[in-house]
Amino acid sequence: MAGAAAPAEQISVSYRPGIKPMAYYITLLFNGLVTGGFLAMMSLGMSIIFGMMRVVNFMHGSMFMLGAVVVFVFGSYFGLSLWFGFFVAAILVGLLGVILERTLIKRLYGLDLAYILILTFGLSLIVEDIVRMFFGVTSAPFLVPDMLKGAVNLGFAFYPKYRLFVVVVSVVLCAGTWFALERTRLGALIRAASERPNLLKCFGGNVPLLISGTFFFASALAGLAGALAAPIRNVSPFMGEEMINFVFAVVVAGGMGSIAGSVVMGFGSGLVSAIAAIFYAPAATAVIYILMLVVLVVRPGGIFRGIDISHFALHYTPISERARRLFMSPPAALVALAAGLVLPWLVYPVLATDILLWGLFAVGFDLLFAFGGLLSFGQAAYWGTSAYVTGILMVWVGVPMPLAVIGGVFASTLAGTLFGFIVARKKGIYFSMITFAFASVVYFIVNEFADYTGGEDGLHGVIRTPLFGIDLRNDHVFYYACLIAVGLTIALVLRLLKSPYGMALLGARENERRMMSIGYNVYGLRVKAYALSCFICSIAGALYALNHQFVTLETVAWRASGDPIMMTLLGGAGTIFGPFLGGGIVLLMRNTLSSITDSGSLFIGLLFVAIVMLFRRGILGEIVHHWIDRRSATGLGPNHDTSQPEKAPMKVAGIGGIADA
Amino acid sequence: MSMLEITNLNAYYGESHVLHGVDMSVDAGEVVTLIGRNGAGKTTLLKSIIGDIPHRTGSIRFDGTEILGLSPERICKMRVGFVPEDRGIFSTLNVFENLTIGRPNGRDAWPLERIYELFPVLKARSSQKASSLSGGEQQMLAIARPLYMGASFLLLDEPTEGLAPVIVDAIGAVIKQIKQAGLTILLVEQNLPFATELADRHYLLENGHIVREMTNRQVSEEEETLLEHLGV
Amino acid sequence: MYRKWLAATCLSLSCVFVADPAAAQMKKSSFNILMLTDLSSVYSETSGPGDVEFVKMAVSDFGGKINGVPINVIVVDNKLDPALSVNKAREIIDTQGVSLMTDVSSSAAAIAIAKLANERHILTTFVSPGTTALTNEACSKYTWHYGYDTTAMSAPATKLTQEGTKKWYFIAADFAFGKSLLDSFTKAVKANGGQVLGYDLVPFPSDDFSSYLLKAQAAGAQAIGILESGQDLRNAVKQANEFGLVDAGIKIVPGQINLSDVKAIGPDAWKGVTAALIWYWNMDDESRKYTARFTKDLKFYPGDIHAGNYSAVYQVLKTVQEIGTDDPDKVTEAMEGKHFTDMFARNAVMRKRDHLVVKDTLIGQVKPSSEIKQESDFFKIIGTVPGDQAYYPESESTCKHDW
Repeated sequence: MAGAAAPAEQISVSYRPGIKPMAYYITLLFNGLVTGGFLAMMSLGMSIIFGMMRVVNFMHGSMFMLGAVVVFVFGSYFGLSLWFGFFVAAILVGLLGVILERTLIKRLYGLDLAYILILTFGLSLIVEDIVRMFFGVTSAPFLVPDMLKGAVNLGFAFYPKYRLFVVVVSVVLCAGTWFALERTRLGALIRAASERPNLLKCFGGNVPLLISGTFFFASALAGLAGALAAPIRNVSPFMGEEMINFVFAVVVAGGMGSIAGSVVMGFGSGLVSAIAAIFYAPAATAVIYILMLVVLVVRPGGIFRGIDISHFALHYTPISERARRLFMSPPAALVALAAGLVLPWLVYPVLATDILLWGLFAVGFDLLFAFGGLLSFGQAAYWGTSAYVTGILMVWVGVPMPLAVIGGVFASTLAGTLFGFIVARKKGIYFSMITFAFASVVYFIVNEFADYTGGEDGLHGVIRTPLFGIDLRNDHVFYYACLIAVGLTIALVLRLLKSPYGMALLGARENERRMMSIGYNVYGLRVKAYALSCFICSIAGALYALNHQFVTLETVAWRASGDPIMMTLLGGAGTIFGPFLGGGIVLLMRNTLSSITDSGSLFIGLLFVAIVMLFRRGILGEIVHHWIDRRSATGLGPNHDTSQPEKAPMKVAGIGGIADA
Repeated sequence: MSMLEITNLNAYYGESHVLHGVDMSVDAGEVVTLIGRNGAGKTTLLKSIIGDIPHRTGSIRFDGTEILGLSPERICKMRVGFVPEDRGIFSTLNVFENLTIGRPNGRDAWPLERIYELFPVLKARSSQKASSLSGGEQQMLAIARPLYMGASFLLLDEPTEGLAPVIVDAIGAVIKQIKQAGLTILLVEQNLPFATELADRHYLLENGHIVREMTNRQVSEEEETLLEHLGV
Repeated sequence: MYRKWLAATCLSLSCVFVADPAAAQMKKSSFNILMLTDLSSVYSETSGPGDVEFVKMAVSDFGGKINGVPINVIVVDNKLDPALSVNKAREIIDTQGVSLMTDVSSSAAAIAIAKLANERHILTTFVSPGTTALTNEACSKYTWHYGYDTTAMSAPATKLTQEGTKKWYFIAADFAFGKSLLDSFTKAVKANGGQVLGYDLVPFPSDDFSSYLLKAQAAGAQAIGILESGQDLRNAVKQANEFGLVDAGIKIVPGQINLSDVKAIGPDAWKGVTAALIWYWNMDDESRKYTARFTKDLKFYPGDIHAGNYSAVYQVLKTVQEIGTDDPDKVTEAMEGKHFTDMFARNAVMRKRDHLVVKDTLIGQVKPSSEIKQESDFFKIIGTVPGDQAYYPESESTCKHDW
């Protein structure tokens, strides 16, 4: 390909005679400390919040960005010096954090981690879009204050004063925070509240105040980090996005809730990234994820044992047992099939096929999530891998279409199964983060092999060839072909869920220890579930490649992992057909919004927030809840609580008694 | 007038009715024990007093004030101290931090010197992480804490559970000293000899009902039957 | 009576034919222009609303009608998503009909659209994307690569190397665009006797370029080519200043540059920077005239891609008017080999073989802030490279031209 050719000579340079090599390396390491400083401050805040409230705050990245924006606005419009700007940024962002905590996040305490993650993700989209509307993508210059301009002679090299300042400030703040937490009474109160908030109440601790105060501090820290970054990085609404992904990796690898872990891992990641930049630049960002994966495999709790969160199940099945049985019943399947048959006549056929395939992808995700109790942030790795392998087989190897599809699905499922063996041992948020890191690494690999995958340009020429004599180039015909494939897959899923395996899986989601104590191999159950999920996502991905006849990096990007989560929640987790409905709504919204407005992210963010705050069961779940469960409630005693999480799977799996409260 | 007066207390866990019409009282300076088998409702009764059970009916009067509707924080401020069965230790804090986590309340709060006098091990280990303490040492910490906070009434849930006899004796000695210092104690215990050593009276609980009020002599005399009854 | 009626009928029928002869030859009843552009994400300032403004200006300069049929502009925010672009395009083609697609932000989306255009015979002018694939393996009869491509951007490298800057180091974005620039720049440097000391392919996006900049300095570079765009480019240049590279006399040469880039970090951060521009608002009277109209509606100054859209739409409409039909085959044939000069392109040729629109490429140098008398007047034009020298030769294209 003409565009992707590299120069004929490849020269790698590490140093030149005449320049002290030590100086050069040390300068680069200092740069690593600067990056590490930002990571450490951000991770510290996130870890504290997590330790205190078991909240994974996706908005942290937006707070970083807001800190930078505040400092820019006050500097440009009010002429406020950077020194004051730091304080103003920290306080304003801290206040924003507290307001959000008191109004929104507080309502979700005690509920599943997934809700808060999604809420904060939605909020970050809203904030980002609002900032973009006011400040645009670019900004005016914002330079360093005079006192910190220029460079300092460190003896072996000259180093920018401001960067040195940043390193000093971040070290001081991290050390100060550590000291406050470990050596002061306030710190003891915070640690106690993090460990056992209800117990602390008995000793007179004002837990809500401690929580809000901690949230303020962590947010202020993020805002301050952003303010510090403003002079040396370009201030833009998207500043927080990349940052937040790294921060997650650092926090998880350091040990969730461990301050020392976050700080050490933060600075460490910065250094590792700087070193990687010396030797193999393209890996500079991927290396942070690889580091995280290595740490988690070698030392599962993070390098410093953080809070033990292995007993955190990730439940998100607010639908009742009755409702679930309804969704898995033949009438529901028939209704769905009928809807599927008419869809391409209501909606543009290629879009209809997209809805079908994204819906199937989301079902693959939902299988793990609602039925297995595992929230995966990386199913796009299989959706995309399958699409790429199918495409590569057809375009470069010349394999006929049906075999290529089989090949793509097989390769992707195999990769998923192998990865499943590693990852099924992890639970809760660790599971989620590892799947996220893995998907990031897959993205990196796909981009690295741009000669085959087309990289940013994408892989084109994945042509639909006739199958069994039928010409698939007609979009309607292809839609029905996909409908058959999707229908068969859903039938398989339903079959499995109703089988003993399915019941066992649900039992393991409810109470792992109990299942293990009666002899179930929970680990094996999870591996199977993961492999099955990958299989489903792979089928959807291979067909997706054929639908568009090209494959691009979007299929392995973060958003492709986030979309099925959104679609599932919107349509209703655990409802089998909800993900299709959710997929339909999201795709139609995107399609229509793109012609109407440029604020698509804002709407989608609002949608997320609305789902999590107001209708957690998703559309189908809410409809069924109001229709079935309310009706049955009137026939029973006044105390009958119809919104209890299901206990039936335990009974069916052979476990009696009341589940542990 | 009794320090603690409970009248017709009923408590519920969801739909389960776990305490049925409990009537009992504790006078100032007394040590009273609750005995009964596992699941009889002893811990629930303690938790009901401290305000940790949401659904209750009846009356609980402490020092003349009705406390049934109050939150645990308020009751705690009224100088009622609770030592739960799992000791309620913050494992990430050290001994000193655990001990002083609550603020001293009132003139009767024990100063640190006095606490260290009674519990020398806490002084020795004051900067160690609480999770590194032995069971007995943790129990000492758990008992010392409400004293630091100035409690006048102590609720102790199975303080000797799982401890070696030597440690049990040490705990007994400590509780005696506390009683001598004038505190009122409501004790839940399965260890009958231990209970009779310290207590003035006993209430026998069965399936959420108080079935008997017994004297020390009665408990000693009927020890064998009681033990069978308790399923120990 | 009957005769009068017949005469009236004939007269009215002939009016229909005579009054609008061209209309009868237009295949569609309206001329729909579909814009697939980035309205809300990272390229919304260099493309986006500015492109829409100029396209609408071109349409209104034609009086809103072409050969008697109305012209409609349909704008879609493609969010740089290829799947969304293709889906929306197909849908609009099927439901409303499209005569011209223009702009198309994102190279991946462009390549996909090129295939669609070829399949459905829709004229397309790519202005935003820079990938050379559009005139090589992804070329097609109906599509034109109108804006810039990465080979033209290497003109300053040629100039500087000829003038004595021999030692180069490159920092390039690790995806097709960056690699393509790396290829062009390396060729330009070597062809003029220069030396490439080394290069780094940096993940896109990145925040911190200091490692690579210091590496370049340690290698002894006299010039560093920062083959990046948008946020990454600005970060890199900011950091080059921070580490004193600019003060040390090392020349910074970006792979491409926009007004918004200069504005974002201030002209002084770009001290002495030389870059290729395919258009500049202050280059001559023509450009200034159209800029004045632009800035009346939008509060910022237009960049090259914005102007490129005006020209693309204008030239296509002009061709349609000249030949009297919107038949895509005839229009594209009429465009092949056309020479023209307009407010955007000077001495331009619409190349027949690979459908690349080559034009004079300017070499601009960023003015220090003391010399800037007018808002957004950041560049001083220090040279012009004719199209046939700036772009790669037609013979080197791998386009099969199978039409």
